[in-house]
Amino acid sequence: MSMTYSYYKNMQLNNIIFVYQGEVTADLVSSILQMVENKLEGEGEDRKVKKRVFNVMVECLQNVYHHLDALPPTDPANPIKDKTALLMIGREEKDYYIITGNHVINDRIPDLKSRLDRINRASKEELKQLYQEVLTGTGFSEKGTAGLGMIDIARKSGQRLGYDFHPVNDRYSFFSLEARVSRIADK
Amino acid sequence: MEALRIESTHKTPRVILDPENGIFEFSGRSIPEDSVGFYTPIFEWLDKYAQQPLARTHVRFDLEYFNTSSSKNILEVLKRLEAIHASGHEVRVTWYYDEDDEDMEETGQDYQALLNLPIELSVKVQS
Amino acid sequence: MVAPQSELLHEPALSYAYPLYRNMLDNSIVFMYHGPITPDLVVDVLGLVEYRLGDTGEDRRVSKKLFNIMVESFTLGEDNRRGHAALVVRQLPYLYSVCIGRRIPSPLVYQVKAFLDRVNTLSPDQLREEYHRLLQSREPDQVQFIGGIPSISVLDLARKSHDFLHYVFEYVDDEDTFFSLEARIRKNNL
Repeated sequence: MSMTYSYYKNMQLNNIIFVYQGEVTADLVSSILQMVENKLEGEGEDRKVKKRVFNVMVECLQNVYHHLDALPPTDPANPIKDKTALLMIGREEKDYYIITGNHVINDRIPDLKSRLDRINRASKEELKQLYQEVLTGTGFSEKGTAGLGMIDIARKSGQRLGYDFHPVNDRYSFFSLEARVSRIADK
Repeated sequence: MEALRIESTHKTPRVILDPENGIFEFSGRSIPEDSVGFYTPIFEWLDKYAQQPLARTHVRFDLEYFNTSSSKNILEVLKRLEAIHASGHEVRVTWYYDEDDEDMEETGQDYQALLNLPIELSVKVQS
Repeated sequence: MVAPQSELLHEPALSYAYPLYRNMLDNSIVFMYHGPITPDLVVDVLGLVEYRLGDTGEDRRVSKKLFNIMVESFTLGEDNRRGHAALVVRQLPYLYSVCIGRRIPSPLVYQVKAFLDRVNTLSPDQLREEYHRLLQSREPDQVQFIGGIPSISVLDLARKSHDFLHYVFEYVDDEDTFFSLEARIRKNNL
């Protein structure tokens, strides 16, 4: 209770608009999208920017959904509520940012890292190519959708993806993914 | 006199005040940006209606949720109806509430206690 | 465990994600909002909560109660002068908690505190009486607002929650104090 102010300060400092922690379902995703859409509308944000934030957000949520889906059934002995996720949206002077967080099995980290690094190194043209390769099954993804999702986020965001793996225990890490969308319309 | 019809939005109720059949309705949510602005035309309409009301008026309130700034305005609506009722023109109010919504039921009871007006509480059973 | 209250983390927000997640999980917080409060936001947040409740199969009586309390908490958070408020919603197996936090002018803290303390001593009948008095009151706004807080909203929350209102005041700067008000819904109280 007395923590509300510290959350307020932290949200203010990090320019966070809202944070959700919990299970992610299709209905919930649609209501979050609705909220963000109205919020952007209310702020009088440029139409192109709105559209881009919305599209990136759709993909980010989809991506979380896939990650959670890929997790094995929750082990009752495990104290980690591994099927819950974090969704966060913030607005800075130049960018909107969308951060999602979810647990991943540690074994998956090297693969995810190399994909993210490859995405971040790629030029706009290379991303397009990579996207098509994955789409046609010749690219790096055996778990199709998740790989495609991240490329798509990167393409729509037009900026490098931020990521972080926070070790939780010998089995899990918490994977945070950040996508940024410029508030400058003609980009 | 013309009927007053206001379509509902996601934050304001649907309002129908029909002087032909004497059936009035308030339904939906009421958390307007500017509650005085929203309710003022309704007050004005009712003041006009009060000059020549029908012998019988039936008013239905079927609200999903509303905040306290709307509560005050709803009380003002009901006070105008109370005056019409006191002038010898029957006004009946039905206050609908969801069977699981004790707060909406209690709000209906509040208005019953505050007004000299027949307000019937009517439970909506969830299917 | 990194607790956000012990240190302010800034830039990149990405590094804040895990501590925040852990903190929310440990404190059973499902949702937090920071910014101006508008009716549109209220509708959207309620929509989100509705889905969340639907997903967790919550009892409709509890859901309705939570809705009604959230609607009024938002009213309390509206502040044209100082703008931003924070809303924190917690979901535990036996209770929900809705906490609204906003700035108020520091010289008014004692007034607000005295009012809340008085509300917390009132019986349900007294709460109803007081609520009825304010509902009918035609007094000017400044009488009905205590420290920028609409007193009828506080009474409304106290009536609906069937519990004490919990509150905290925290120093912001020379002018302002941060005021957090929490309304709880205990499931076994309904």
